[in-house]
Amino acid sequence: MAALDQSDVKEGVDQGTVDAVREVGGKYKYGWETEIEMEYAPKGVNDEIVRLISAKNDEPEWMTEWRLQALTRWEKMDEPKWAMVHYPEIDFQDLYYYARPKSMEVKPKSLDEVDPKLLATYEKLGIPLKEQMILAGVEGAEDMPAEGRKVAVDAVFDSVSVGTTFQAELKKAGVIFCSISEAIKEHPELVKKYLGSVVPQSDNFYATLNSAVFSDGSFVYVPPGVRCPMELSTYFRINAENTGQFERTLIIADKGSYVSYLEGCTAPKRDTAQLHAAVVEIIVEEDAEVKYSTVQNWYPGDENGKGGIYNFVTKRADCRGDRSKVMWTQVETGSAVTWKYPSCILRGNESQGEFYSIAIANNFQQADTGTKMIHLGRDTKSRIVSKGISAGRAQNTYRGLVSMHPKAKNSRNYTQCDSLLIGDKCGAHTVPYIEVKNNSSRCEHEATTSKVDDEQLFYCRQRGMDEEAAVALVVNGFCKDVLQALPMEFAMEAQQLVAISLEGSVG
Amino acid sequence: MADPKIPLSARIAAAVPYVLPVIGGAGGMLWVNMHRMEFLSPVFWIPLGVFIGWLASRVILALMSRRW
Repeated sequence: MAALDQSDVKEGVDQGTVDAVREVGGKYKYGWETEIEMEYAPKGVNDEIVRLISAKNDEPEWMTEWRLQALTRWEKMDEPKWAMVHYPEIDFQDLYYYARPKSMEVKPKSLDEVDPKLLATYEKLGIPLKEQMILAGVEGAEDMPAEGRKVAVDAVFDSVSVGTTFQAELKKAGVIFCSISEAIKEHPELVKKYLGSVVPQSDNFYATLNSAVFSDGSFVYVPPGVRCPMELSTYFRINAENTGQFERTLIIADKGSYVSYLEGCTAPKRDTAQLHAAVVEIIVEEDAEVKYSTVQNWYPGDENGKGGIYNFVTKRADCRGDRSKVMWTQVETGSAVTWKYPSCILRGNESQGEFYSIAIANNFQQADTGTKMIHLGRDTKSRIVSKGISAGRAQNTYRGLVSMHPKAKNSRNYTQCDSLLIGDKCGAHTVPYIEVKNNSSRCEHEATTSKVDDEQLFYCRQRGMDEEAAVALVVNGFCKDVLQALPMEFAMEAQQLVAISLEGSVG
Repeated sequence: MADPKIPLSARIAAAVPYVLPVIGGAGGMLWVNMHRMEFLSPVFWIPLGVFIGWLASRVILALMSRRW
């Protein structure tokens, strides 16, 4: 491993550890590729490509116009350079903006018609068989009895949503859960009303690009007073080479409703970097509550920093109603470059925003992540707990904004920002911004930077644990506040992911 | 093993002033953790729980002394 030459190794670290660190780059579990015949739009982005994407999704004219407006704005924008991330310049005209499996051109009606490679992909990713059938788009599979845990899944494969599970059951409760392309056709009134209302077309460079070329993503609408009967989730998979994924997620929680949503993502190992620029908009009305969890496991690049996903994401929740609540939980272990600041606009009085984050950066990964809590209503509350872990030569930055506006009387914020360093070549940076424009609000900010203590490791090893298990234990203990905030079904998975991401990285 | 000559009421009376403040303090801690978005101060709520526990123990002891 280039990041750990023999000269870099500290005295007293055994060869086993060094070897384990060398192997870390090769441990990405989802780095395989599905060899499937794909259909691409020509490379580059322009009016024609935007119209083509719109036509592929069979969109109405107003949607095409909306996209074209965004493209016009994007062409006048410059790529932001303020984040603490460094990467080679992206040639936006050398990317495919649309790729879908040829077999998805016509929706399959039975399992026999489904491309077996597509089925094998789901199986390999660990999606249960029952869901597999629905993800493959088999008509009638939704009526079969569900086995095991009930999590409705929307699977996005490159630029298309392959299928959504448990739609019928959710419909009985009044919940709409489908792909955004389906929602544009089936529920245009909702999409028209809410799309771009939280993240406007010209919000930032990547959000504007997304607005122009987004291909698929998820749409959720929970009607007033409904508690969504199951967890909802979306699984994003990038498979095609030189292709960017631009998904758009729109979640609307109407008055007094509740929904918990989880997203996961993976990509194959490749030497060339790939772009992922997503937008997530959440609208939370009066007394409603939304929990949004992310387990981000994009390919992080190899041990020399070659390849990986450039993850530029805009996520924002608008707590429009009084007493509305939103909770962001994210476990960021993958992607070569992460640029992501899930935010809350606390507009309604007594609304609450929470942000729990674990960002793990190993080898040459770079993560510039954090949150924005914008307090507009009175008696609004927010809590931020951010845990950053850096190993190898990785750089991890927490960038947060807490803004108390003049009308946000008696508002409260608590921010806890902890960094853990493993090795002496990595970095942790904290950039908190706090703006308070009234004199009755309170903000608290705590920050710590620490390293995995040799004594802690010695104590664990003395009790028969190997070094990797000891590091995993220490790191999981460090992250427990965030892991506890994840839905039960995924907490264990995330805990294991945290351990895997840092396997052997003691230096 | 407990001395069989000491009546149960006396044993309860001996334990109550210690047990209830501890339970009160633990209750205060639980309360703080259950209302994380209320930003309650453990410095206030845990001693308050201990005080309530102690007060309850005094009441119980007073009632017990009146009865026996």
